[in-house]
Amino acid sequence: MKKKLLAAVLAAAMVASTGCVVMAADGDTDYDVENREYKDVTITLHTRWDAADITGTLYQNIVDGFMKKYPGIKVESINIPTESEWLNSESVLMADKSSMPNIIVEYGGSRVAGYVQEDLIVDMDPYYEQYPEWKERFNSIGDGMTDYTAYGVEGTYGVPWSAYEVMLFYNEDILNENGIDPASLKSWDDLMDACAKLKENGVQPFEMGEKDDYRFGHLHSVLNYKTYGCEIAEKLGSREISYDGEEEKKIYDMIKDAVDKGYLGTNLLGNDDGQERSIFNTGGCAFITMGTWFCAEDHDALELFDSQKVHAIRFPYVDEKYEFHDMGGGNEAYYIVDTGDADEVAASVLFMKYMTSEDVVNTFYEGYPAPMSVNVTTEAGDYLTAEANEIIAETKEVRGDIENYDSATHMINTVRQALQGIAMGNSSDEVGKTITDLIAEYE
Amino acid sequence: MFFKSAKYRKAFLKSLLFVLPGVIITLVFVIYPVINTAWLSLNSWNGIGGSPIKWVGLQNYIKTLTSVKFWNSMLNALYFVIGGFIILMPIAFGLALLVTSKLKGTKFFKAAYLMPVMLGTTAVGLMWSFMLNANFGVLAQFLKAIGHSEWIINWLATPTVNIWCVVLVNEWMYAGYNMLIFAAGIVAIPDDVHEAALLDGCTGIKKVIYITAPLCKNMFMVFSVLCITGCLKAFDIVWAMTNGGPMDSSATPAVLLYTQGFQYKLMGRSGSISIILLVLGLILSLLLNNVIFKERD
Repeated sequence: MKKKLLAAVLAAAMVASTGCVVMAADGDTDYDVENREYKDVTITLHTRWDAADITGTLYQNIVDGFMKKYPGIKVESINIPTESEWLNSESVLMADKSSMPNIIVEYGGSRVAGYVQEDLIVDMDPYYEQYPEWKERFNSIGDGMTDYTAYGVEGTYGVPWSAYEVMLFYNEDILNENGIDPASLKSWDDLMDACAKLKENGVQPFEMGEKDDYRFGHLHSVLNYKTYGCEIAEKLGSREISYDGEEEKKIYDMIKDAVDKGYLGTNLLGNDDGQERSIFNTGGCAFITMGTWFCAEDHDALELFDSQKVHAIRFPYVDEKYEFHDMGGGNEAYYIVDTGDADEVAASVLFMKYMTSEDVVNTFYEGYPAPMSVNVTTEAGDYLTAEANEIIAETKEVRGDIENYDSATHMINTVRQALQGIAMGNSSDEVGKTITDLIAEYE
Repeated sequence: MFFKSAKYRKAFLKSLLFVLPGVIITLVFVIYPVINTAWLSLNSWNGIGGSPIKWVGLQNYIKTLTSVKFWNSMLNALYFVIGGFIILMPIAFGLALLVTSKLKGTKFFKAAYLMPVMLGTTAVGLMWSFMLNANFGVLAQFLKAIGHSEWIINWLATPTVNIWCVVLVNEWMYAGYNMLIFAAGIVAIPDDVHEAALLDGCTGIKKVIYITAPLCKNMFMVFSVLCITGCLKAFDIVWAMTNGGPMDSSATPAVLLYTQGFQYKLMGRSGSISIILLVLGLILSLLLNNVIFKERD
C-alpha cells in the first residue's frame, strides 16, 4: 500500500513538475520572442505595399533590415497595391487555415472583427506585458484599430501603424485667380459657393475619381461626422439611424446636389483616384479631398508643390458644432494571424516589434512623412505635412470609415456601391433603398 | 472467359495505370471541388477559415434566383452570347476564309489576327479602358475632332452601354482565336469537293453557303459550345475593364459569384451561383450536341 501511495505521489509530482515546466515556458519563454532561436522560419505578409510607390522601397528596406538582423527568419510578402484587389485577395487567403498569411494589413473595424471572433488573430497583450516599452511606442490614434470589446472580445489585437485625417487641399493660384479666400471656406455652404464661382468662371472645382468607390465612401463618412458628429457612426452601426432615414438622405442629397451641379467632377465614373490626384497635381482642378497620406506622396518635380501652391485646410463643417469632428484616426494596422505554428507567430511578433522600433519608424517617416500611430522622434516632412499636423492637433474627435462601425462585414462594399449610384443619377431615396434592401437580402 | 484470362487482366491493369493519373486529377480538381461547392451552396458560411458553417438548405438558391443582381448578371451573360453568335462567329469564320484562301500575305494576317489574344486579357482590358475614357480616350478625342462632342458619354460607366463595350472588346480579342477553329475545319475539306463545286458553277458566296459552311458543321458546334460556356463564365475581361461596376451593372454571373463570395463574404450564395452556372452550362451543351447539331439519319 505504501509503495502504491509513494508511486502515486511520485507520479503526481512528476505531472506537477511537468506542468510547472510548461507554465514556465508559457510565462517566460513563449512571449519572449527576442530570446528565441529561429531556424529556417518563413513568415508571409499580405500587404498593400506598392513597389512603384515611394513607400515600396522604404518597406522593402524594413524587410531587408529585419532579415539581416535575424538570419533565421525569411520574410515573404504578397503586395497588392490596389485597394479592392487587396481586400479580395485577403478574403481568399483567409478562407482556409492552410493559406492564411502570418501578418495581414487591415483597417480594423468589422472586417477584422470577424477574424478576431474566430480566434484567428493573436492577442498582443501578453507580448506588451513582456515588453512594456514596446507598448509605449504607440500613441492613442490607433487604439480604435486594436480594441474589439464592442464585438465582445477582450484583448488587444493588432499593431497600429499609420494614421490619417481627411482634409481639403486646394490650389492657391486657382483660388486667388478666382477671388476666393481659402480662409473663408469654413462650412460646406462656403465650399459650395466657392464651387459655384469657380464653375461660373470655367474652372473645375473637383475631379473626383469615383471609379474607385471609396471616394464617395469617404465623402459620405466625413459629411456625416461634420453634420451629426462622430457618434453617428455607432448610431448607424447599431441601426438606431437607418441608411434610408431622413438623416442619411440629407447626406446623399448634399453629394447629389454637388454632383448634379458638376462640382465634384466631369468624369466621375471614368476616373480613378490616381487620375484624380494627377489632375489636381497638374492644376486641372481647384480642390481635392483626401487623407493626409496625400501630403507624404511623391510630389517631386511637381511645380505646384515646389512653389508651395497646394495647401491643406480642415474639411468644412455642415453643423458648426462639429467643426472639429473629422474622418480619420488609425489608418492601417498589422494583425498577426494565429496559424497554429508557434515559431511563425513568434517570428511575426518579432517582425512587428522590429518594424515599430524607434529607428525603423523614424527612417520610414523621414522617407514618407505621413501621420503615424507609432511615436515618431524625428523631424521630417515639408510645409504641407506641417499644415496637416497643425489641423490634426486641433481635432477633437475622429472616426474612420463609417461602415466599419457596423456589425455586418459587407457594409463597406454595400454602402460604397450604393453611393456610386449617385454618380449614375440615382436619387437619395434610391441610394437609401439600395442599401437597406441589400442589408435585408444579406441578413 | 476472356475477362478472366491472365492476359486480359494484365492488359486491363496496364490500361488502368494509364487512365489513373487522369482520373485522379479529375477527381481532385473537378469532381471534389464541384461536390464541395454543391455542399457549400446548401450552407451559410462567412468565408473565414475555421468559422462555423450553418445548414440553410435551399435558401441560398431561393435568394439567388429572386435577386435582381443575379438576373441582371444573367442578362449581361446573354449579351455575351448574342455578341458571340451575331458578331464573333461571322467575323471569325470570315477571317478563317481569308487566311485559308490563296491570297498573298496570309501568314501576316494570321499573326495579326492572333495578336489581341496573345496580349493577355488584363493588357487588353486596360488598353481599351484607356481608349474608351470619356476625357482623354482616343474615341472621345476622335469625336471631338470631328465635331461630335455631344456623342461622348462615359461608355464604361453607363449601364448596358458598358457591358456592350466589354462584349465588343471580347469579340475583338477572341476573333483570331476562333478563326483558328474554323480554319481547321476549312482546310480539312478535301480539294475535290471544291473542284466539283467549281464544275457545277458553285463559286464565291454560294460556295461558302452551300459547301464550306455545311462541311464545317462540327466546327460551328465546337464554337457554339465554347461560346456558350465561355460566356456564362466570362470574368477576366469584365474585371479588367469595369470590375463589374458601377453598381454591378456590368457584372456577369462569374463576377457576381466572386464578389458575393469574397467581398460580401456570402460563400453559400456564391456557391449557389456556381452550381446554377454549372447546371445551365451542362444543359445548354447537351442541348447543342443532341438537338441542334444532332446528325440526322
